[in-house]
Amino acid sequence: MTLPKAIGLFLLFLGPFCMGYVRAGRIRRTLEASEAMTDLIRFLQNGIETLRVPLPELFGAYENQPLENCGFLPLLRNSGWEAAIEGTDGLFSSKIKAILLSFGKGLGKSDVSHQSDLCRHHLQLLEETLKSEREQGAKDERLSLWLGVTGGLLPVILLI
Amino acid sequence: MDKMIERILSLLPREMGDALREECTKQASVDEIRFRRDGHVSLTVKGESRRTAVFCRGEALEKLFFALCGGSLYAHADTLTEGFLRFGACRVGVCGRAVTDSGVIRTLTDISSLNIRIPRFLYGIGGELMRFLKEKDFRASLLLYSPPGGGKTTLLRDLALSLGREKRVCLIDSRGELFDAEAMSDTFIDCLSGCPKDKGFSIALRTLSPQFILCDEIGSREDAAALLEAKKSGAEVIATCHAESLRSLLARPLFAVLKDGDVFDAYVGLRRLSDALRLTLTETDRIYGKGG
Repeated sequence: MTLPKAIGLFLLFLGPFCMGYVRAGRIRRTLEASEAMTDLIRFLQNGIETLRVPLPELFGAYENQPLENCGFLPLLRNSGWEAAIEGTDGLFSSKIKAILLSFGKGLGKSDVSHQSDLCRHHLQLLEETLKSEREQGAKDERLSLWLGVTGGLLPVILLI
Repeated sequence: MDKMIERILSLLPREMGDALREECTKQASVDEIRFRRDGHVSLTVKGESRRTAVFCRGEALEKLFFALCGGSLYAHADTLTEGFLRFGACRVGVCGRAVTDSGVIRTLTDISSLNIRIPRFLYGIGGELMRFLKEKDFRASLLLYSPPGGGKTTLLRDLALSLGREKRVCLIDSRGELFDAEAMSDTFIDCLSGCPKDKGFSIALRTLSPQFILCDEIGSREDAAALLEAKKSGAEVIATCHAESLRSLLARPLFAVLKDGDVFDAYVGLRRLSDALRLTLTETDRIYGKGG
């Protein structure tokens, strides 16, 4: 085998492998972001129930690396809940997105007791949806990696 | 244009805000801006109501209300049960449908009107009262009275600042209207913000050793009891209340309690003239025929 051929085969393997790897990463990030949303809603619930802190202050005080990196938190602080959900299109699955938009419709619009109920109800919905999405996500991640590896190896083997 | 008015206008849809800005600039000074559902916005200028050409639809009113709450209605739940909310230094009167639970108002919904009171931060208007207090060696309590919108809160704020430069002053600012953070920094003023008056007096006397306690709008038995307690503890009190005249003030049963307790040394009537405030000071010695 000559050097150029070896490099070519390597690149042939790398392409599909990288695609599989990137897809697996996207699936993982979606799950991380969705998990982080349950943390955010708990944080909001706590701030509302204990100190009745206004939402802009709560948004400003919340820190989370995955949500910061994907641009959700900056959008939330500048433009509000709905804008942040819509502005990070593709970050959440359609089911999670629907739950988050429903939560946003009621956020800040009633007294502490109703806000508490709103948070509790949507946390429950999120947990239930996340349970199935975690299992499916883990399968999809593994599948993506395997497809990436086999998709890369197959042409290499055939050409060798 | 007043900064506070500008801040309020920025919450409105652009067209509506621009139109209202034009209306406000035509007036010398705006005391209140009233928004009514599906009605024209009106301005209160020197006690008189003036209808503007700006129309307020229900949806715009709801959005304005939510914006005034800072997007967090729950943060204003306590004051909403009393029919108002605080927006900066503004008091916003809120009319709507009360949602009750076992006779207690939980919140307001179906907002029908908002009355935004623009605070006036006028300093130097209490000179006459400061001279009176100095003559009494700062051992005198005052009650300021006038009809609503008479300038009591504005005068009380000025007295707080003047006194706070040399005496320990506690402001019981239950409605968040008295304390001016910028003007009152680096004074001897302590502020209990959002605190009910009776609790505020108790905290002040126990922990702040005030020489003066100032509070706005007394009217209940609890307020009277708190004032009596403060006077007995050695603190002087300056308070305000609504009354059309001295006669109507003295006719109120509450003041029999305060009179017996010798709480106030003078009653000060306020009357708004076109560009000034007229004060009428009546020492209680003269009313109740005591010596000295």
